Amino acid sequence: MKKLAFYTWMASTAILILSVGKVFGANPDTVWIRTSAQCEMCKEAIEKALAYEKGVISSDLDLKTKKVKVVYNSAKTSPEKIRKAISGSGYDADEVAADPKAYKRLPSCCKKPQDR
Amino acid sequence: MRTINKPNFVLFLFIFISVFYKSLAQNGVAAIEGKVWAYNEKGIKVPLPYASVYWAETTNGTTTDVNGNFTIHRIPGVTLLVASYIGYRSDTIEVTHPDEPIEFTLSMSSETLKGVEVKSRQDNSFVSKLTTIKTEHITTEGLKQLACCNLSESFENSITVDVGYTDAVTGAKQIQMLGLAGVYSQLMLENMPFLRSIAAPYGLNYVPGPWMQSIQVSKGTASVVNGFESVTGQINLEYLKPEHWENRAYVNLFGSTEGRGELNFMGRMPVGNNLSTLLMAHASMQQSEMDHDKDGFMDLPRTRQINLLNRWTYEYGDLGHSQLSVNFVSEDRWGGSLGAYNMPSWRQQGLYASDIKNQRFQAFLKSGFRLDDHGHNSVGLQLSGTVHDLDAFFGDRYYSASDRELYANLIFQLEPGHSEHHKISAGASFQLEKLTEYFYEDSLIRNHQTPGVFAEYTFTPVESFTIMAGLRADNNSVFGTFVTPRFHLRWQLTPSIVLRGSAGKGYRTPAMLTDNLGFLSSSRQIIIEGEPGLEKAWNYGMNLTKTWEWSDSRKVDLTIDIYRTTFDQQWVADADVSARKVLLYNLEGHSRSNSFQAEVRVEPAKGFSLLGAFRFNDVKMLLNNELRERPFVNRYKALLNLSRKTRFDKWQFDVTLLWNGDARIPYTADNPTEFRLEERSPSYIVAHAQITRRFKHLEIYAGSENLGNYRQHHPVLAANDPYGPFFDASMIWGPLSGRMIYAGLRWTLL
Repeated sequence: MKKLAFYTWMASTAILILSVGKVFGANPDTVWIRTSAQCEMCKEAIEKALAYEKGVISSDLDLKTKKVKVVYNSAKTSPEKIRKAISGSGYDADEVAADPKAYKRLPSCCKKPQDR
Repeated sequence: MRTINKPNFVLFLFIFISVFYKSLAQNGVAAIEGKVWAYNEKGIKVPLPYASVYWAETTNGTTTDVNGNFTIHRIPGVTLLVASYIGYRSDTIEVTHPDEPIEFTLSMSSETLKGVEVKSRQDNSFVSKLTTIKTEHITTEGLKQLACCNLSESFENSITVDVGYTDAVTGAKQIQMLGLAGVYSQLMLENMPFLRSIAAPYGLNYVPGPWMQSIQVSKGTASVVNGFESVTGQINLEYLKPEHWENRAYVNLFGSTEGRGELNFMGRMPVGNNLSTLLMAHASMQQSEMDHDKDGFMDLPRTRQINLLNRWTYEYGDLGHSQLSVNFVSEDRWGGSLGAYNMPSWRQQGLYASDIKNQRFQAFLKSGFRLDDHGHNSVGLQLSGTVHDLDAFFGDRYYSASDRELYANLIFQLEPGHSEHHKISAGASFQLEKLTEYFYEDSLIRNHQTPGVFAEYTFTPVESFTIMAGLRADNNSVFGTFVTPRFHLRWQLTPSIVLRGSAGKGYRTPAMLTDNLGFLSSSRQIIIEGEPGLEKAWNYGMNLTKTWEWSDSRKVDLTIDIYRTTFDQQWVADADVSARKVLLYNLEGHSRSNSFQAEVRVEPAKGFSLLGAFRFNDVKMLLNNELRERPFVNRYKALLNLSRKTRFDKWQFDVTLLWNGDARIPYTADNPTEFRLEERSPSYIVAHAQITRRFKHLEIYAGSENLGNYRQHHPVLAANDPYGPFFDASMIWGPLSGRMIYAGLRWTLL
């Protein structure tokens, strides 16, 4: 009986933690940002970096146009902040150039063709 | 007249495999297959996982899998294929014969090595298909699945290495491989002997989890390059390195309901252009006294540990590099009766206590240089020195030991003719060991010098077949000259099936008592017959790996292993004569271990993995003219591990179930009825679970070890009379502490 109570407690804690993680998105806005992504790896890296940004709900990068579609909560972030985050992961974001330190760390397939 | 006088096997294989390859490749000209290799820091050619391969001037690319293999679709009109990996010089190959596999070999470029960031997805653990010796890699990701405070807890998701307590007082954990004590597997830190002799019983606690970059576990005989000591296998630890570690600082905090607290800190500093340093610090404490089974004894000892490491790397441009590391550990573990710690007169009160103080200082210096532009030939020198002092009492028994070690190893790696078919490693080593052990009137004072020479030849006639033969000769100042032959073979029958075999000899110079310190936590009379001699053993093994792969994230790996170890001479502890004695002597009679293991790893979808493993051990030795099972070795063991990661690894869930079969308990029939034990331990299941949440610079984890709260009840015999004749805390087969819930955080500063 004690065991059962313990497992129930564990399960409910887990569910609680899980539900806190959900984004309660209000006012979703969308912005398209042109990036310097080169390959599948860069797409993965940019989308992952954005996933860990505050206020970003989802992102999808199209490698053909190199544009990333970002859905965000305008109460928590702004296109400027999103561009800065992309730059911080080593890629150009519209007129914001890639952070040079982060750019240096990119795998060479993600660097611009002239730097390879 | 033409005669074919050597219809040799290898040639036959070569033809067989090339025909096979041809027939396979012709079906898929639309896609090109190949492999990316790289010369690592020691100049050894290894497959390069997660390297990028792409068509020049396009965005069409792919990455290599864990074995360095890749498949890429052709693009009409484009023939230049590029392979690149951070820290390595990119290479371009013109594809003229699309039906032939493409091979890239990249070499390191030291300039770009600093501050690299490899952010590719990593499996938690994997078995490489390409190395000649089958090696199980436990990666940083795999280590993070566990509470994993230190090395002794790093094997909970693996069935290859078992971990168990040695006694119910000191909380020392011992590992086992192939059913034999951990001391028979050679533990190494960055390919140098580590935690030998008197450091073995508690040493696993001196390796904090966050310090480790990876662990490589290989069963069976090892390469002769690293010495004569491995019998059942090899465990190599790689610590984080300043030149590779991507962050500036890292803090890890951990706390558990059993009262354990840990703090880990790491900081990196670039000092100059070519010089970098990393400081690693660890402090841990367990000060609460728990007694779940109300026998008056703490379940786990009170421990305190300080552990500091500082390492430096200097890079000589493209030529090579040197590494220097200094490490200091101080640990105190106090176990026994509740309340004795704060009671100066505990002995007069009839209470029991044991206290073990360890102090250890280790330093190493490693240098490696290329002897030519391509890194085909290289030279490496390893130097290491250790000072270790152990002072302990167990009730009214005192034991002290001190160990001074020096180790030097010079290795040349050559590729004659710059061809990949022949490789030679050769060199010389020197080992100095000054060991003293005091236990009552018994003492061991050992002053050994062991110079040795070795050579190893690796022949790879075709990519799918490798044979490696090694030989070394060592001259020990006491035991004389002995020869160590070792063989390895790897045959890739098809691209997805690899068969490996190994056979070889191993030796060890055991310390008198350290391998069996658990018996000191008892009233057993300890009878030491003679001085420990040179332990000698043979090990033979075979294993098979098969992979089914549908895509990068959907695959199944199957591994089957069979190993046999036989001892010619062994220093054993025999607790089967009487429940009130333990005999230590050189056993020249039969002692063997047979082990079978099967493992299936399934990745049904991205972010989801499942591991199932089963193992059977048959470990017997001749005790009193009777072939008996080695005590406390589980005959059967099974493991099930489930791991789930959400997109971008934000959440991670891990559950492990471990089923431990029964094991033999030593003879206790000459004890009074209430202190007799069953002949065999019951089988039991333990479960572990962990949840991890990742944020931008922070990871929070919480979990539980031993979820089902399974414990060995009354692990201490005659706990109420610790100075009486029947007291025994060394008969341990199961978990000592109950369910532990823990939580921790890892914070990283980029």
